Amino acid sequence: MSIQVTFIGHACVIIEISGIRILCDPHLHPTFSSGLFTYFPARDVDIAELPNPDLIFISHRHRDHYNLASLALLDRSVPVICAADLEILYGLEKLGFKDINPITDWEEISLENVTLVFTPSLYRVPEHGLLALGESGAVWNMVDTMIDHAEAIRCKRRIGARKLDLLLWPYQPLMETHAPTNRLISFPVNHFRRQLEVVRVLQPKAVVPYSDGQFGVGGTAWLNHFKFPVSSGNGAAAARWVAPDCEIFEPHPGGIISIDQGTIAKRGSAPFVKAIASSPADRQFDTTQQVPPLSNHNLPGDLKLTWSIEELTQRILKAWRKIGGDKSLQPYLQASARWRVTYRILLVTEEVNHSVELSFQCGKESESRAHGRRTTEDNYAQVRVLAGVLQAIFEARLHFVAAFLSGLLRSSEMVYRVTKNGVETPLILRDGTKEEPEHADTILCPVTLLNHLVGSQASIARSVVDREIERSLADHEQR
Amino acid sequence: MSNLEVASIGHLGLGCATQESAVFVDPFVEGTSSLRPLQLIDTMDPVTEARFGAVALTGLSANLADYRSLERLLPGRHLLGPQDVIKGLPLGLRSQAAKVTSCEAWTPHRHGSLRFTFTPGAKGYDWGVLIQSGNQCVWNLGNSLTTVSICAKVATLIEAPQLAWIDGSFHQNFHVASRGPSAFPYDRLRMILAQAKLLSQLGWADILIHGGLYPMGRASWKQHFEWPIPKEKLLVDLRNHVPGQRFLSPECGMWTSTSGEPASVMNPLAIKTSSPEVLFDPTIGIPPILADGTCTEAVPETIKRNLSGQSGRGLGEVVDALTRWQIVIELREVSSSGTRVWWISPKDNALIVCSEEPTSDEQLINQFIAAFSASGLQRFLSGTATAERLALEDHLRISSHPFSLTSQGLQTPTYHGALSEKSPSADQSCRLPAPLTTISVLAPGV
Repeated sequence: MSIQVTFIGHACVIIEISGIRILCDPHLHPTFSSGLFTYFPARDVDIAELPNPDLIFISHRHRDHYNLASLALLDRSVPVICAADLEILYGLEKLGFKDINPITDWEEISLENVTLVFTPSLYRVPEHGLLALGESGAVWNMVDTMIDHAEAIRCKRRIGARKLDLLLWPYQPLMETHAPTNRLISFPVNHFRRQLEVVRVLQPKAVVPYSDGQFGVGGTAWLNHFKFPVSSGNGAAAARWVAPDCEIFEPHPGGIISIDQGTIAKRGSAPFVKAIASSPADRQFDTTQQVPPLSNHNLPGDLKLTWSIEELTQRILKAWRKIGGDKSLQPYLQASARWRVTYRILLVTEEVNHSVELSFQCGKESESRAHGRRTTEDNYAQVRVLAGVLQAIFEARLHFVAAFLSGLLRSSEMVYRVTKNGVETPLILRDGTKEEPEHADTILCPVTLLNHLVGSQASIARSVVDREIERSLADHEQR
Repeated sequence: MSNLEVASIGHLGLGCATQESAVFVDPFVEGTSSLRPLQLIDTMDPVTEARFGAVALTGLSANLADYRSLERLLPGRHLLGPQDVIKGLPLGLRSQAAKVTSCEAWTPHRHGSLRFTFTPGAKGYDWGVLIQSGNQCVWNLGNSLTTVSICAKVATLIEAPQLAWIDGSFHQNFHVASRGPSAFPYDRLRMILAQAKLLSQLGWADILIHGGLYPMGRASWKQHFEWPIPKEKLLVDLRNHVPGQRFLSPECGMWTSTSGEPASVMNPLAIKTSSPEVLFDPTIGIPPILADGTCTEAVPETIKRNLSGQSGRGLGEVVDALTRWQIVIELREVSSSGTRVWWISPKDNALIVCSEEPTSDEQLINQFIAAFSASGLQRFLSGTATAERLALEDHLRISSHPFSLTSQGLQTPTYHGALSEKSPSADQSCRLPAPLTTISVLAPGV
């Protein structure tokens, strides 16, 4: 029995192995996250013709992988395997999925003639790849996972004496958070080297460089130029460099790759996926492009501010008081006090900007004050956000991560002190990898702080999911 | 012998004077349409101005050799500078000086009672100048990066180290919009502190901080990226790093003796403060490159002509580097009516220009994007503005993030040449000319 892999777009694929059809990270609509993102290449999915999956796999919570609107279209009796993430589990339960199976690193599930191995990731959010081992071959869908050399070796050992037939390879070191957070943009050599190392260790028969299809639209399209530092051609050239015998396939929407008795080939296209002609021009990595100022222009209409600035400020201060008592955050907040950090949340409106300044001193928040000249003692960490966007996040109409990944939060920080030894800086906790060190002098980056502020309203994360489900079901009914 | 006195005259410019002689060093006294010093000389009384008989230049970069200031000050004066600086100055400008002295490194030259010795920097193209009168000395490091061995050589030329001027500006202007948004420049701060510590350890009694330009006109948005910390904070940082050392940041136009005390041989120079006091705030965003001028069909021909006029090592080095790193230059000409693109790639030890993007099956191609305003490209190709000047004025932005795959694995380059931040001693195996150096080979040869 052959293996068949069907590409639907971005990281949404169907893997059919030993008679079992696994739908991975289902994404069946043209846009996602309140219309802030779309896919390239564009495609249209005929949901009525989509073959019923035997299993659904959700790799992690990011909305280009965990799409409630797509899950709402699927049969709730289909078993779901997913990362052990409360946000995913809550959404699946709420949608009415009955057979939900959270997984752990290297957990294995055997189904008739196929074994599914859930590979780990170094990222901080719970996340897995899916290694499918069947009689007719082995396919590894890495999704967005990043692993080190030791884990690549472990994966190779698990595959055994045979070669990996097909690697779905997330080759892009995504950089969309660098421009909005004002971090130096240089080629992320360590990240790309690590992704190449997987190909070098595994020496797969075929590689599909993929998971690079999500793009901002409208007011967030500018960020596409700061996202993908490796062109698809260079990704393929690099894979071929480290694994000279491997064949490279492009993941065209609807394209099917089959593995039959060791032969890997393109096999027509799926009738339920229709590719739509679209221009790839705006994905070129290009730091000469603009970083437009925050503005409501070109954003969905429901991101406009309807609260008063005072109301929004009070919400922030209330949340700040709450996180001041959060034990898990105490080390970071105390470190920020030692480093004399003032967190500044700059609320942008059409008329005037308003600054809320927060500094941790024995659990007390400072008063909100004007955006003024700094003293020689101050360190600061600033996040600039459209007031309407922050309101939408507080009201659970917009997911914080979606706002961040679409460039709607801008930050910078200046935190240092000079001693006889030179310039000393604290570690700054960002949404990075598990292997990034932390110690007593770790402070929160302003975006992470803001995430805690909105997340400290305990119901927010669930409310976001509730809203997304509500909207998805309403859309579904309308159709 | 009268006392040697020195005054900041804006940005990295100095006035140096004794009773008998007075010299401008790197004068930036005009404030061009695109750059202005934080403080600059507004007026000089004619008697004072007439006493300045010479101009010394330590570099060719736009913040040291300000053409408008030189047009005003060179006529009738003696021009001194290192050979490569004098050679790189436009002939029309150079010829306005009454006398030109092209100086060898470490060789003293005189102007009246003042003795000048140009001191090389660690980067190879950067210079400082040691100014002496009798046993008094002032060492202006200009844009140069100094080392223990350079300091040791300076020590052999002087009786005792007295007054040193170092550049306390952050040079963010050069980098914004070519590297994307801007992080706080910790590396530059470290460099300033390291220079200060080295001078302190070698006994320089007073270390003076100067420097500061801000962009105007179309590039004025860069003001938000230019001044990460106020000068007072930099002084606090310096004092924390080197306790006990005297650091000063004298007001522009005020004369100081070599012992760091106020002096009075010369009249105070009238100054005006032109700082817009804009807060450092990179979250504000970066506008698109301004489209002005019109595209021309002559670009390929002009580039071919310019390339054929290039000689020597520079072009060969760039062609070799582009070949090694598999780099294709995407030259954009941005006008109000649209963008025209040309591709320049190395072939057979030369550069070829074409209107079609080169393709290569599964071969690595590193893109080097040079986006010019159409008017900027015309100025660049005709030799009336350097790449550096255009980058400062936001007529040019560059995006280049190459990598290579070699037997040693995945590698990224170490830049060298103008405006690179690494010293030439850094990893030799990955050398690549800095982006502005690379693009400069397309301009007419000097």
